[in-house]
Amino acid sequence: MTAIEATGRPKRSETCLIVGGSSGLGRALAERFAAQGYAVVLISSDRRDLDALAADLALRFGIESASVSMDLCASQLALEELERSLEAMPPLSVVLAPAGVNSDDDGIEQASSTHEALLRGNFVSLCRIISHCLPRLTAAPAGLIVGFGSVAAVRGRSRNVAYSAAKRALQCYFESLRHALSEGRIEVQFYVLGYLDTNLAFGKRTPIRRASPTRLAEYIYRRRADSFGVKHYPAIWRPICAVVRWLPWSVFRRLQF
Amino acid sequence: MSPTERAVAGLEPTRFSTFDGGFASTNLLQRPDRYRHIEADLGHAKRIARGGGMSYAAASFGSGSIVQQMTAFNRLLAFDRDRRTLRVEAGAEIGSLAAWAADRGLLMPVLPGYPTITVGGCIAADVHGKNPLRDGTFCDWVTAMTLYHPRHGMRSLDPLRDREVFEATCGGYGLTGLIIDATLRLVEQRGAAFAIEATPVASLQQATEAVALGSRSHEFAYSWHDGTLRGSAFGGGIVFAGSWTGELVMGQGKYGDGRSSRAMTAESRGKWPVCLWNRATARLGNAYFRRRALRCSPEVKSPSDAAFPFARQTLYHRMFGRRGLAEVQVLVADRSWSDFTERLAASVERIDPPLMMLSIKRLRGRSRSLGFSGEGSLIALDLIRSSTTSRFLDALDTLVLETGSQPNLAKDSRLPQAVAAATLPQYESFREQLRQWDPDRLYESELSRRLEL
Repeated sequence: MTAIEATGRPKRSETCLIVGGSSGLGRALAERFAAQGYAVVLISSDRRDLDALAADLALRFGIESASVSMDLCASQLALEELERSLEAMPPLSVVLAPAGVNSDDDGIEQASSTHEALLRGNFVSLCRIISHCLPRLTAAPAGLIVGFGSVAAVRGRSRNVAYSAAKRALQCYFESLRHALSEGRIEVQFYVLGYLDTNLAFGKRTPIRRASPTRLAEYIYRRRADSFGVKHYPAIWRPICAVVRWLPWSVFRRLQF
Repeated sequence: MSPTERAVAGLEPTRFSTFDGGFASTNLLQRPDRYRHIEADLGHAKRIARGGGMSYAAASFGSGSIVQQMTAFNRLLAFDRDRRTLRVEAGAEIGSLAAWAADRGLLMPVLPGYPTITVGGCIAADVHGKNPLRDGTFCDWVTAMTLYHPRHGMRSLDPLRDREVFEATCGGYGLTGLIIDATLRLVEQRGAAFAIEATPVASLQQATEAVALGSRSHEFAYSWHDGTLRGSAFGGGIVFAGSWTGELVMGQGKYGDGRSSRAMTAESRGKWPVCLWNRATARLGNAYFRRRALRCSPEVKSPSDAAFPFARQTLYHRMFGRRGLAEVQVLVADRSWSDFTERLAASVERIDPPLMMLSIKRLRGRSRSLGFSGEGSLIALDLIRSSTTSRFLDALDTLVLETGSQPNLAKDSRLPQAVAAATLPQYESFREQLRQWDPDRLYESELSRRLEL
């Protein structure tokens, strides 16, 4: 079965790597880019979820797909397996990194092992994977790297301590990445996300309605060629974050959120 | 919990309703989207799987059970073109699967009436399609499945090797565990569209004969009867018989249309606060339907519009409003058919319920778990909810018991336990088997509680 038989549209000779691609926003992005004919490589922790999604994308969209099982919280990453997968695919041109790991136990007094795992899962591992892919991306005619932060990182609080720190570090890393690649043909984008309707927020009380990951994936796809540093999604979070950021300490310290 | 083991997906209180609006309750909803969420330890909490939530009975919620929404498990896993088999996760909607198959010249032989119904739901209720006499029920086309139960883990079920559990899961309303995936047999699609002939009939008896004939000579045949007619006119209606045709259909629905944001759900069906169906509007609506059907015959319909007639025409169900409708579906053996229809007509005459319509198909059931057994006529009745309706349904229960007929559990949100126990051939053995397979009876719904399963 060729791609054209399967989907009615030709497949592209480009590969999209999605770090954290088996559920939530990652899955929505995988489906969106696969629908446009991109070959897709998925990274996530559970082999079963990955294989199911990779098979689905190949059958529904007629694209090439591969999956790499990798625990982003672990200190050792299976970069050799990633390399083998990328080797077998069309040239890499897109890296999307929606992976996110949080914990209910992410308090200031938590054991350092929990914090280290959260820092690796939300920051260190993503940087290592992006760095690993940079030579391939710079060799492509045009490229795209998208990172995802969180409104939780706008100011440090007594909750989500390591998660917020990692996300803020990631935003800074993406700023550096954009600066370093500004002369090339790679767009570097960073989205600061509010609540999404995924299992990360499901079951929790959220003051603002959770946004659809499918609609966000569409939004990201449509803006893939735009040149911007940071965008808030949904946009309402931009003024909210600005207000929170500029709240005087005497007020902020009393807030419980 | 370690950050790498965010195992249990969140739980959120959510309001659920049956499609007929007859029962509603608030339950904790879990939306697993990873395999580890499915295997998460929920302790001794009762739980039940939910697919599209289109059942007329509360088979996917109730009784304080955690509702496990399986719609994220909707991926295609493997396709064997030579054998025409598709392995798919249980949360996949049949509308999108049918669309995928149609693009490859293939067809799912058994499709229930709404595209957002999931594969898991089709197996759990062992649903039937447009020609259940020829095609049997959905589970006749399932060649393997994976079932999860905390006591047994992930189990690959083969219909021969694991016959007992496999058969209990087919038509077992999700009470044996979570259906994770299934392998389905597909068949070749032999035309581009259906040409559907409409023939007027004067009685239920005449309709039954025509439907029996049409089920053998056509791709499908079923009847529709105006429920507002009384006296000698009762039973008057139309027999529809569909055959493949090569004609192309312009501007008609494609598979998957019902997946749009406007797709009807059990909750959105009952959004209107009042019921707009009454005796006057029912007469008008039925007269319009009858006139249009006869005038347009033979009508060419896309396979999607023929399979899912209510996907784009949602007004009929929405007009029942919040109060909802009452539907009953009963398999009547041929030997009891005359007696059943005569006594049904007498009950309608005596009680005068607000009956909207009746419909007849031929069906052959394989006697799995809580499903139908044997061959006969499958009659469905749609009613406006009222106190008269309740009295009529009580009388119908008596008629079902006395004629040895079998009710469809998925179509009746109030069916009493005594009727189910006395009429379903496998009721006792299924109940016993459930206790052996799952001594803690972890999987429960309002339906299973009501029927004391």
